[in-house]
This record gives sequence, structure tokens and C-alpha cells, in this order.
Amino acid sequence: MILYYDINYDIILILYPIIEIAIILLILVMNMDLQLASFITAGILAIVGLYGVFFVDNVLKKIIALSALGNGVNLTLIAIGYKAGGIVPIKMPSMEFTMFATKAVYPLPQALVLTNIVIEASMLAIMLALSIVFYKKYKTLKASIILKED
Amino acid sequence: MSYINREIAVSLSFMFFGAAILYSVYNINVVEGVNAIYTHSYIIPNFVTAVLFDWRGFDTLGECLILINSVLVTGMVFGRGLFNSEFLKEVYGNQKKLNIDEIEGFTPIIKVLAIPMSIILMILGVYVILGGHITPGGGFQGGSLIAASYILAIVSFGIRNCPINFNHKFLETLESFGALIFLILGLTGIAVSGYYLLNIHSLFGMNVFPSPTGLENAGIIPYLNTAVGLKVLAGLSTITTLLSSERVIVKNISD
Amino acid sequence: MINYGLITINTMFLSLVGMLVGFLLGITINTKLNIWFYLIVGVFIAYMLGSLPYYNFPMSYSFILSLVGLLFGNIINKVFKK
Repeated sequence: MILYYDINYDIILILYPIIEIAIILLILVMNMDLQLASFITAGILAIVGLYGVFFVDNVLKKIIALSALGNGVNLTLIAIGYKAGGIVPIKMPSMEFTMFATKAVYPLPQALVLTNIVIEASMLAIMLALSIVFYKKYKTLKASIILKED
Repeated sequence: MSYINREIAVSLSFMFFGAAILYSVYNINVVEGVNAIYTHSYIIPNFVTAVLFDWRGFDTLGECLILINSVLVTGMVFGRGLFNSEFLKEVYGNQKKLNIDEIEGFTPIIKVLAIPMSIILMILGVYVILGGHITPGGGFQGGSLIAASYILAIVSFGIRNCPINFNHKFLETLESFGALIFLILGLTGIAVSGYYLLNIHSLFGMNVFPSPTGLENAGIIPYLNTAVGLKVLAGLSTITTLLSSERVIVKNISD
Repeated sequence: MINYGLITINTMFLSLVGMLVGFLLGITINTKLNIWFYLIVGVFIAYMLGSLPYYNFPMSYSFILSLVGLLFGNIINKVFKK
């Protein structure tokens, strides 16, 4: 009776690399803007993650999809700090400061991403611990059986 | 069935939300300018660490507390706490008893290689923590490297006769020690100037962190890096120990 | 004559902090470590890493001193926790 548990919806996860290869080809052949390409990749990553969280019927796969969603957010933040022809925001002793200040990439989004990665790691630990307990108790990882949905 | 309605609602919301994400991401417009203040004032060579520990030190403190929280919750699920052992008895009670003597770990090749590699990895982690204000790196990355060396030793030797003996008390001490250093360094900022976690460059005419020319403004940042490194190493190692200690739980339940 | 770089309290303080952290980690290692092996490998790796920027040393002293602290902590552990 339940629609979305019968069909194998994992096929959309196979579509993701194909879209990614298409974007790389667009960058290489058509000279697409790098920032726009990263934004689109981040959007697709977030949508794939959202799809996995909603429709895939396995707790471990849901957790993997949630980290894909987080990676999409991280990629968006990184792409905001992009600057054409920029350099790494680390000043070496030989550099002149005014030249460095005009050319360096913005450091704030990178710091935010570092924060986000740590939070994701701690979230992952809690989710894995709970999934271990789920598996010990129910002998399965299917969300439909854990929630007693027939 | 009531499930079908729910399914349609979920599908529709997924469609709308996905379309909204793609639309907004395609039309995003980055305005340069606000970020310029971060690159036009020189504190330390690594500007990302400057944002983390100088401009937004309070933010980093909250982030560390999140890590402590996750360790607490993992310990509450199956740690030494065992505050609800009825639940754990129900979960773990009906499985076969493990025969510990039969489990011997990996082959001698891995056992010979694991100790030197994990020790070199540990030292590399210390190096990455120390160079946090000059080169790419810092407390979080270095602490993760040291925790990775501990995980390598656990995987190859088993948690019972692991050569790197991070016991529970040591990790607990390290974690609280790291958090305490962070908070006390923030309090010195209040004592000198009135602002919490302000970066003090020099105290009584001396540099707070003695450094060569070009790094005089480092101030308390290397100390904060070390504290965060110790705390991250302790937190990740505790989580690893808890996730791999099924035998300990079984033993605690049987008592 | 080998150039060891300028050794003062300003340039060596970072390495001393590393030595302290290495000592903290070293007292938790239970097995016996072959000291000469680790020193030779450590000097080689430190030479390949190079020193940190702004510190004009021929090799990374913070790496070597952290390793020395770890080995020293291991010896202390062996002597006192027999």
C-alpha cells in the first residue's frame, strides 16, 4: 500500500555523478563561470541530500544523505568567498601587505565552514550512537519497521 | 489510507523546496565590501585563524561547547553513566556472549607498522596545532589528527591491549583542562581591558607569546589553539572509545 | 659549519610548548619505543617539512622537540608506572 517503499528510489543517487560530469564539461568547454558552477553543484548536493532524508528507507543512508546536505551548505559558503585571481589568505614574509590585502580571498566564509564541519561531526557521532542502539533493539535499520508502519 | 496523504504532502514540499533552492542559488548575488575589513587589518599571518580566535572568539567558544555536548549525549546513550540500565539490558541482553580469547586482531604486518605510523601521526598533529597561527591548520585539525592516530591503534590492536592507553580519566581531565584554559584566558581579557576574550598582545611590556619579528601581535591565539586542540583530541577519542566498547557494556550489564 | 639558526627564547618558545604537549601524550604509551629509530626518522621528516615561516631554521624544530617530549614521557612512564 505504501508507494515510496516499493520502488527503488535510490536511482536518483546514480543521476548525481552524471549531472556533475555535465557541469565539469560545461566549465571546461563553454568557459562557464566557476562561482556559478559551484553554486549549482551546491544546490544539487543539497537537493540530493534532502531527497535521501525524505524518501530513502534506511537509517544509515539517511545519515549519509544528511551529511551530503551539510556539504552542500558548506560549498555554498565557500563559493561566496570566491574571488577571481585570488590568493590564499596567509601572508608570507616576502609579501607586501597592500598587495596582499587587495588580492587575498575572503577569510570569513572559511572560518564559518570550519565551525560547521565540527558541528556536523558531533551530530554524526550522536546519530551513529542512536543507530547502533536501534540496530541492537530491532535487528534492522529500516525506518518503516522501526516506526511500525507495517 | 492515511499514509498516501502524507506521502503526497512530503513529495510536494520536496518539489517546492528543491525548486526554491535551485532558483535562489542560481540568482545569488555576492556583494563585495563587508569582508574587506577582515583582510585589511593585520593580526597574524593566517587570516582564517584570526577570524576564528580574534574577531569571533566567542563564537569558537560556543562551538567547543557543542562538541562537549555531543560527547555528553553519546556517553548518556551507552557510556559509563548507564543511568537507564533497564533500557540497555533490554537492548543488549539477548545476544550471545562474546568469546574474548578467540579475537586476536590483525596480522603481524599491520601490528608492526601500526605503532610507528600512529606515533608519527601524533607528532604531526602536535606540529599542526602549533603552526595554527602561521600555516594552514590549528586546533581542530591537529586534534583530529591525534584522534586519528588513536583510532589507527584501536583498529589494529583492539581496545583491550591497545598500546596507546587513553583511559577514561585521562581524557576527562584533558577535556575539562582545555575548556578551563579557554575560559580563564577569556577572563584575563576582562581583567586588562573589560572585554571578554580580547586579544592581549603584551602584558607589563612583555609579549604574551614570545615570537620572532612579524608575529608580535599573536597574543593569546597560540594558547587558545593548544587548548582547543587538547579538547578536540579528548572529545573525538572519547566518542571513539564509547562507540567501540560493546564488550564493556555487556560486562556492565551482567554485573 | 652548520647554520642552526638564531636560538633565543623568542624563537624556541613555540617548540617548548610542543614539548609539553608531546610529554602529555607520551606518558600514555605503554609499549617500549626504539629511541634511535624515532629520532632518525623524526629528523628526516623535520628536514623534509622545513621550518615554519617567520622562523628561519634549517628544519622544523617544533616537530623534533615534540618527538623528544613524547619519547621522554614514554621513558618516565616506563620508570614510574612499572
